[in-house]
Amino acid sequence: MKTFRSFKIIIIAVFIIIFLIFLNLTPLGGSFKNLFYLASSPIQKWLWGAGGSTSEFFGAISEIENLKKENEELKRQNQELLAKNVSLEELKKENETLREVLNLGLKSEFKLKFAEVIGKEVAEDSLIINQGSKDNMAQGFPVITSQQVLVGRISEVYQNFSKVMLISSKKSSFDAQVFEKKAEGVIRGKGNLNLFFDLVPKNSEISPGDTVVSSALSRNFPEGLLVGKITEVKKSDLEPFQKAEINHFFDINSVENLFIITEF
Amino acid sequence: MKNIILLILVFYILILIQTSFLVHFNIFLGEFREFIPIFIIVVLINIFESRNKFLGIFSGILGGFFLDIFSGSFFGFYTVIFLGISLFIKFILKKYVQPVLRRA
Repeated sequence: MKTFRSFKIIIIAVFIIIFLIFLNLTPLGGSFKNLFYLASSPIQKWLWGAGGSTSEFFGAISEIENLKKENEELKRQNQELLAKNVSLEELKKENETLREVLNLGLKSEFKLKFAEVIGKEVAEDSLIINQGSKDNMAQGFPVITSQQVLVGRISEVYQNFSKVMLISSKKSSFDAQVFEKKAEGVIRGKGNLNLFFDLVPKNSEISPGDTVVSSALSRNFPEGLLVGKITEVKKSDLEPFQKAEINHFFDINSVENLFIITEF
Repeated sequence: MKNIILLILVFYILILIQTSFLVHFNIFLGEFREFIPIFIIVVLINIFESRNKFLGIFSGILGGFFLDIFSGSFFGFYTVIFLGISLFIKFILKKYVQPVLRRA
């Protein structure tokens, strides 16, 4: 009886090992994941929305004291931006006139594709979106929000779904620059939705509050996409470059829809 | 059989909650928060099930397999880790805890 039981356990173990090897070595592994995501996507979509609104609700309660200060700061910033906007409008008109005179076409905008977030991968900085190979998705396409905030790029494509590797992933690094200062560096992911700005030359003047955008040197992403704000600059005499902590603009709690840049 | 179906349903619901709902609550445990619900259930089943039963080991394999589906790792990564955890708990209970309980 005992021998029969051990035999049964061995058979089950062998079957599981063969099944796992089969899933890893054949394209059926991807189809298997795709099937699961397809079956789960309606529930996951609902849970994602519910999670976002619940966390926002509790976040608002815990931060009610800071909200007043933040509101005043935002009002001040809004006024500054309005003033900037007026001067930019004038510059835009001037620019358009000059383009017409020089007979230059406007720089072509990105070709975008809309996608909804289904979920996040376990223990990794990756999101699952509802666009796959049947929607002409391909590896490497940049992903942004409606405010042109850089989110990441497509790392894996299934038939109906794709995985977006966030810029905060440990595997992610790309060239970026400080807006209006031209201080170049490399944005590296730290994992768990954190980023830092590395390899910034010591002679470059960067300070907390500066906005970091993607740079033209980065071939993976278009130039000028918003990345985040510098929160702390770290300079050391022992290191040839300076580093900075970044508070990125992408907020996972409020994101439900994303845009994939299919051409830039 | 009823237990196994129930376990599959519980793990499936848990993994959906882990990958969509809990993502928004970045309060404690950092990236490990996404393992916690399934991990706790696997550990509890292994601790409290009676001797010579295999539901604990099965729960380890199943929980790990669901994590494999919703992770970027290769199939088998979490399955092996959770199977290892289940076997480790079984070993500790058999070798150190149950003899003490029998003596008492």
